[in-house]
Amino acid sequence: MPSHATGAQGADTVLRAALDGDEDAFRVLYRQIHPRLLRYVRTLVGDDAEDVTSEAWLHIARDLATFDGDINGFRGWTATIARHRALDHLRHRKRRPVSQTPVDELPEQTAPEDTETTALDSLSTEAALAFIARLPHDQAEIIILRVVVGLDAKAVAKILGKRPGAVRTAAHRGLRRLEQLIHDLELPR
Amino acid sequence: MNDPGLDLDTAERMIRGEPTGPPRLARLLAAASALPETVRAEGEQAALAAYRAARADRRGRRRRRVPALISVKAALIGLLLLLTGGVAMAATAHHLARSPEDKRSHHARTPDTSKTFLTHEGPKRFVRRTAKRSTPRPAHAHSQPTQAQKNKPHPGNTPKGKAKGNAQKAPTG
Repeated sequence: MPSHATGAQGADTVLRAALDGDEDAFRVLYRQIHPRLLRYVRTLVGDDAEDVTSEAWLHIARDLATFDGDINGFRGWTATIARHRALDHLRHRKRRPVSQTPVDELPEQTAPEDTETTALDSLSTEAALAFIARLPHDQAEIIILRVVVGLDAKAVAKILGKRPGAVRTAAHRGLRRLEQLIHDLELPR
Repeated sequence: MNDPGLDLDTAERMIRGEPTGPPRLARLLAAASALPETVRAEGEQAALAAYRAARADRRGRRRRRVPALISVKAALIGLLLLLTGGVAMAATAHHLARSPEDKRSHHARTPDTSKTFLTHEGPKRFVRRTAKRSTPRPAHAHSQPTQAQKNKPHPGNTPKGKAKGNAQKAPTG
């Protein structure tokens, strides 16, 4: 997560400006955060991720005046909103949330075999996400929130209603499993 | 699972982006979190429109709130002026009636004809008023200062001070 750690002060300044009404600052925030939220929402709702994430941004923009905190807090806040929108979306579609679906019942959302084959040539973002999507859902969600959205274990624990220790353990298991997948698929070193 | 190097601590450091652990796994995590070159314009425009609308809405609400506050304040001030003004007017009238300075100033402006009455009737304040009317009517002289007070601003600052004090309290209350 070095990309999140570096320039945190600059990101805080941008956030402050966006909260004060600077539209360009809000645009910068959007461009930084939206792609990460979109990847997170995709782990929850699959193909509807674009629509659900757009809806989440409407809520973020509307409630922005109520937010008070730094850029890390803002990432957690936006992820919480995105998660609520995703779970609402799943409820409206009268589907069980993906997180409560047993792993073997999960639809093949983002990990078709050809994506993984492509991954052997060049490790694109899509390919990397396809690997992560093969993990048990709780591990995939935690790894996306920590690595992609850029949250610490405490923030993830708050969003998911778990203990930080449980989040760390799940992330550890997820990484070990990922490493195994890489080994099995002979991803080039 | 067969990588003994990936313990809990190493996993935690990899998640934080530190250059450690199995290189292929590190590359995978870096690729997963890499930002794209561009984002979809429609999504960005919709988010910006919502941002603008939310700000305009908040500004609108602030504008609507201000006149409401002002009118409440004005009503309070008016009510206080009404309530305290009457008391102050009566008090001032009383004060005027008894004030020696007042007596002197009116005496100075009194036409020469009044001097006749002064010498004859004694109490100056009665004489002044009756002199103006050109008919000596000492029995009605008590009402004269009150009548005069109605036609000029209050010399006393009681109502003004009270109204100001309440105006300052109005927004918070």
